[in-house]
Amino acid sequence: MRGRRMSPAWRLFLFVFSIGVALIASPVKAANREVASVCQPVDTDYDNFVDDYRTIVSGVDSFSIGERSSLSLPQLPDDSVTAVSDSTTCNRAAIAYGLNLSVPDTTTSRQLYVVRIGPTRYAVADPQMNAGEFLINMIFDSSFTTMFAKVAR
Amino acid sequence: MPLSRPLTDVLPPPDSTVTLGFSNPHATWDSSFFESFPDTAFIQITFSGLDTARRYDGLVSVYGPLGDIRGGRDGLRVTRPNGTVAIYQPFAHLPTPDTLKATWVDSAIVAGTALANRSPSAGDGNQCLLGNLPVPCYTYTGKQTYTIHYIRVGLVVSSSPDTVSRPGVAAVVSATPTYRFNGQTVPYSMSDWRWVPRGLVGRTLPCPGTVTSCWSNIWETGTMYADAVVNGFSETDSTEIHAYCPSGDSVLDNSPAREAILELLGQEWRNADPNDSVKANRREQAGWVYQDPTTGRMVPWMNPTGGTDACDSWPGTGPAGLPGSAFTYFVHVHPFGKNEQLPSTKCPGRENGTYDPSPSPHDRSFLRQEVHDNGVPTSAQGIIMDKNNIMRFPLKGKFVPIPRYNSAAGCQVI
Repeated sequence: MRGRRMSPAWRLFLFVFSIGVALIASPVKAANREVASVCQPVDTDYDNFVDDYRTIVSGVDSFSIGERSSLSLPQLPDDSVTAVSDSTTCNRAAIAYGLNLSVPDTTTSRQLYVVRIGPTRYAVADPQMNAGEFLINMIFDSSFTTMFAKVAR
Repeated sequence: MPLSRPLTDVLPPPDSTVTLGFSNPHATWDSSFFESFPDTAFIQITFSGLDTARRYDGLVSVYGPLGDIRGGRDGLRVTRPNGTVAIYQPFAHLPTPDTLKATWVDSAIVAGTALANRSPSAGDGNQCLLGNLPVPCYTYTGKQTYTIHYIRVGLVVSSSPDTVSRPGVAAVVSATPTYRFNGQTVPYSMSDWRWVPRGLVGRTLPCPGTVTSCWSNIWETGTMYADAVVNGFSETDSTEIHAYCPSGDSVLDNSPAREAILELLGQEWRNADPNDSVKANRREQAGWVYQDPTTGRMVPWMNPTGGTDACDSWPGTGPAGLPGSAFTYFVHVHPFGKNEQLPSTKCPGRENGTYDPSPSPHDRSFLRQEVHDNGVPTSAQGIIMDKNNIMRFPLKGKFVPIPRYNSAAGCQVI
């Protein structure tokens, strides 16, 4: 029936329901929100960051083998480890990174080091997320859905 | 510990000026308890207050010690078999011109009880006798004061050799007082031995118990410490003993700076308190290895105020006056092991984490800035050590991990 007026109780129910939906939906909305995250410009610092992962990934010594094991990284040649500079990947990395912080934060804009390690792994660090001199590094799968390791290095 | 020191006693003055004479040889006999030495002691005796123009053997003396009496060099004679410590007169038996000093100082190794007294004499006041020999006489007035100090000798620890040919070879380690007195050993007793590996990790054992010397198998470079009580004073000394262990990194092993690097890493590591269970108490330490422009030697230098935090340090600018080109290695330590949780309070930042061994981006950028801003050569490298590894990194490029324990050679690099 058209034009039927709602009772006060029904209106109260709808109001509370809509508030609840809004609250539930807000994290989803935040997670999908477009943030201005970008990759760090490739420079000497970025190169060194990449080189440090090359040491681990290509090394055949006990140190490198141990690091690969604890960080869930494959053994690959040096040229399989590269700096990422496309903003799409860095944006996805930023969201995954933010979700895995102690206090999840996907709204802050980040300028990230993102290292592609073969076809299956990414190493990500935000220079602003540190513990003393160390940066918080996270290792993700290629879809940024699984985090394998989170370390300060 | 020695008795309260210095020990001082005074012979009260005689009633009047006294001249010991031939006819009254025993008129001024006085004595005063001075001190007991239940253990052998090495002492310095100062005797003063003798107001005299003449001298006579035995006029004023410290009688005692009844036990071990050795030594005596000048001023006071302490070699008498009956234990007398007396004014020493090299030519007492001769009527030599009077050169008596008002204050006498001498040292002796003594034991037993010492008494001070004015001794009897023999003579007529103008002419005294030593045995049958005529000698000048003393007169004295006022009080005479004796003071005894226990002499601090010190301890020295030594090793032979100080560098073993390979890890596990034995060296003779010994601890002795710093010097002997008239060929005699100053009394001492060992309290403890300790071995501190340069990097706090190792398997060398210290000498056992309270021996004064032992054979010790030296498995890694480190320092042997000994604690002893020498003449009543607690003393500590140490000696560094080297055992070469190849790192397996040809750059490090062939570097003329190798020893300076390892020495600096060890110094920093020991100052970092890396085994403190309260991780917030640990402190990174940092410094430089530089080439002395004068000698060409590679010199380790730790910034004494560079340990700012558990996750931060500052190597400083090195010794004043050095050009940037002298600095060859930027050296610091991360006082953590792989996967150790970093202390949030002392590793300030926005996020906490577990330590993963690597040069940090800050380490890398610091070296780069030093090259860019301060003239540090582009060939300079960074050296980091944590609980398990040394990491060597160039200005640009991959870092080189070097395990602190060389499993192939079976020895501890540091």
